[in-house]
Parts: sequence; C-alpha cells; structure tokens
Amino acid sequence: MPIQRAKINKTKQIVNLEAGAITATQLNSQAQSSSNRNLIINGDMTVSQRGSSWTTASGYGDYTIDRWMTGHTVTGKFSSAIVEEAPAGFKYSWKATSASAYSVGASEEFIVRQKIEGSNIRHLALGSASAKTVTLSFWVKSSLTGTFTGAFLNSAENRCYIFTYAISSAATWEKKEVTVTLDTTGTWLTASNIGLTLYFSLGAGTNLVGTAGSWAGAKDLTVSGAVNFVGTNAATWQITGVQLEVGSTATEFEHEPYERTISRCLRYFHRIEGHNCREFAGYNENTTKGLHVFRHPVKMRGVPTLGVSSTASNYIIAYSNTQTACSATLVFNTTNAEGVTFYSTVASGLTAGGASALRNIDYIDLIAEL
Amino acid sequence: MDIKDAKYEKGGNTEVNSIVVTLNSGGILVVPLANDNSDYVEIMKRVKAGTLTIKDAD
Repeated sequence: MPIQRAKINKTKQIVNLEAGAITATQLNSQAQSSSNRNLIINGDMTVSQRGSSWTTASGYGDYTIDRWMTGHTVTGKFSSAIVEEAPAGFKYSWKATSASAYSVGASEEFIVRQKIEGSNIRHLALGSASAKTVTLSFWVKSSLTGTFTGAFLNSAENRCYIFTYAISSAATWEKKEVTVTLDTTGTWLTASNIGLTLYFSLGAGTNLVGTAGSWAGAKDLTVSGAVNFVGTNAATWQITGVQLEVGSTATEFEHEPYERTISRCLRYFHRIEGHNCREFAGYNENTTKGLHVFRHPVKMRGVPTLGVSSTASNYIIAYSNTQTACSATLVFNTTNAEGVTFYSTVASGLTAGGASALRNIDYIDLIAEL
Repeated sequence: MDIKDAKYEKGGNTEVNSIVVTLNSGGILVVPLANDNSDYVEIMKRVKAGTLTIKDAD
C-alpha cells in the first residue's frame, strides 16, 4: 500500500495513518519510486534525432539513436534500427541485425554503448572505498540463445567489469538484472568528460576475453564461450528499458516525460531540421557575409561541433525582399556551450549592416558528444 | 568520423578558430579548437599518429 499520510508515534515508529506500521519494504519501495534515478539517458529508445536506421559502413563508431553509439573494428558486419517492437509498457527498441557469418578476429570488437558523463556519476564514489552498488536492468530479445556479455569501463578503458546474461528463449523478450559493486580503485573522471561507459557486446575477439563478475585492470568485453552475435548471418538482437540505478534492486523502469528525455539528450546533440523558414536572425557584416546567432535550448556538455550539409546552397540568406543561396559552407564566428554565432557566405549582393536571416532547408547539427 | 579532408578555418577572424572536416559519408563538420570537444580530441589523435594532415587556412 502506498504511503500517503504518516506520523511518528511515541515509540518512534513511523506509522502509516492509512494502514498501520510502515515496513522497511514499504519505505524502500517509496524511496525507489523517486525520480532521476536512471543514470542511462534515453533507455527506452524514444529520442532519435539522427533518423531511424544506421549502417556501420565507416569509421569505428557511429551514434545511432540519441546517446547510444555503435562501435565496430570492421565495417559492415551489422546494421541497426529503431523499431516499434517492445515489451509491454514500452514502444520502441533498438535492433541490431547481423550482416554475415563473420569470424571475429582476436582484437576485434562489435558493440553498442552509452557513455555516462562524469558529472552524473559523482555520487557513485567510483575509485574509492565508498564506491556504491548499482543495478543494471534491461529488456532484451534475440534470435540467438546462449550467454551474452556486457561491461562497464572507465574513461581510460583500463578498468573493466564484465557481466553476463543468458538468453534462454529465442525471439522472446526477457528482462535481465545485473547488480555490481563498483570499483574501489582506478581513475574515474567526474567532470564533463566520460565518467562510466556501459557496453553491450555484439562480438569480441579472444584478446578481449576476461573474467565476469570482478573488476580488472584491462579493457575486456566478453568471456570465453559467449555468443558472438556477428558470427551468425541475419541474427537479430534488440534492447530497450535500460536502467542503471544505485542500489542492489532493480526498480520499475523510470518513464520520463518526453520533453525531459529530449532535454537530457540535447546536452550532447541537437539536430535543427530544415523547416525552410527564416530561423537564424542576424545581420550582414559586409556584402558577402551574414552573421547569425543561435542560443542552445540547454547548456551543452562542451563547445559543440557544427554539422552541416556539404551542399552550401541548402542554406539561404534572406534579406530585404531578396533571398540568395550560400556559396560556401557555414563556419563559426564564435562557439561555446551556451550558443553559437556563425557566418554564411554568398557571392555578392548583401548590404553591409542590414538585417538578414538564414533559411535552413537541410539540417544543422550541434554536437557535444562524449 | 570517416574523414575525407580537413582544413583549418579562420571563420572571418584573423586567427584560426576551427577545422572544417569533410566526411566520406557526406556532410561537413566545423570543429572548434576546444579540448572538451571530442571531435577535436579525435582529430588531434590522428594528427599525432600521423594518419591525418590538416591543410592550412586560406
């Protein structure tokens, strides 16, 4: 029964006025229902500013859905998508699909991970004798069965804790819980940099094999005999409802209002979709350059990168009754965690000192990922 | 970050303030010279490793 009205009686017991004496279980349950306990952002996969499907065609890592990044030593071995398929109480899951039956090399890794900002894990007391116990919970479904692995790592990737979870039934949602006593040694950053990273392995080589259930001074991601997801062509692996919280018990997933989740995501990435309207006010610094201002809706983690289309003419300067497509890429004038000013360039025709605005018909990204 | 080309940029100032990165996958990143920017850190790692050269600004 929820605690609605309580008092302390003469014998210093807390008494629930609706139901008599309050048990420790009730108190614990009440505490666990408090908000802001999930250290994972976008654990229910609801915010996806970068689209809905992704390849692993280039580089090592690519952000997919907000806050979740894939990593792949070899390109093209799996793809991912956000899909409307989830256990009861959720709408979306993140789904990986293997592209081939790949034999993983000794030092190769295929992963999905979330980096947690150091300022959000200070209370975990990592690297000290007071390090907390945390519990990870998530829903997972795969076409494969067997022992799967994940890991927690520090920023330097020289401290790791491998955990295992078993998928016993193919193509069936299963809820998993992992309780970890955090590391009492090692270096753990607690500023606006990488504090703690949660990995889920989709395949890792023998050089990344370690021992599950204890902290080690290495970067290990898997255990001997674990499933290498990328080793089976067309295999699927899905996840949602990821929650990491202080304590030794997994509580019900903390469903946030959408505006709360996207606000947390905007600290790291903000895509301004092109709405083909005059969005960025400014003025003409001279006859070829417009200077525009944008204030970030939330303070970003750090000084952001500006991501723009390679087609300069996807940005248009509007001034007086005239509109002129840009002839060069947008570039910074100044940038910081709270806002940017940037230049647009046209061949000629602006009136120095006149007002102008920028039309965006593609996208503008502001990127301050960890 | 699959880099096709990288070039320093002054952004209308007299001093260099960013690196304009053209990606093989399409799109352009304008990366500030800031140590808390993970793109800048990654670029400098590649420069240090000798796998990337950044062209001078115009």
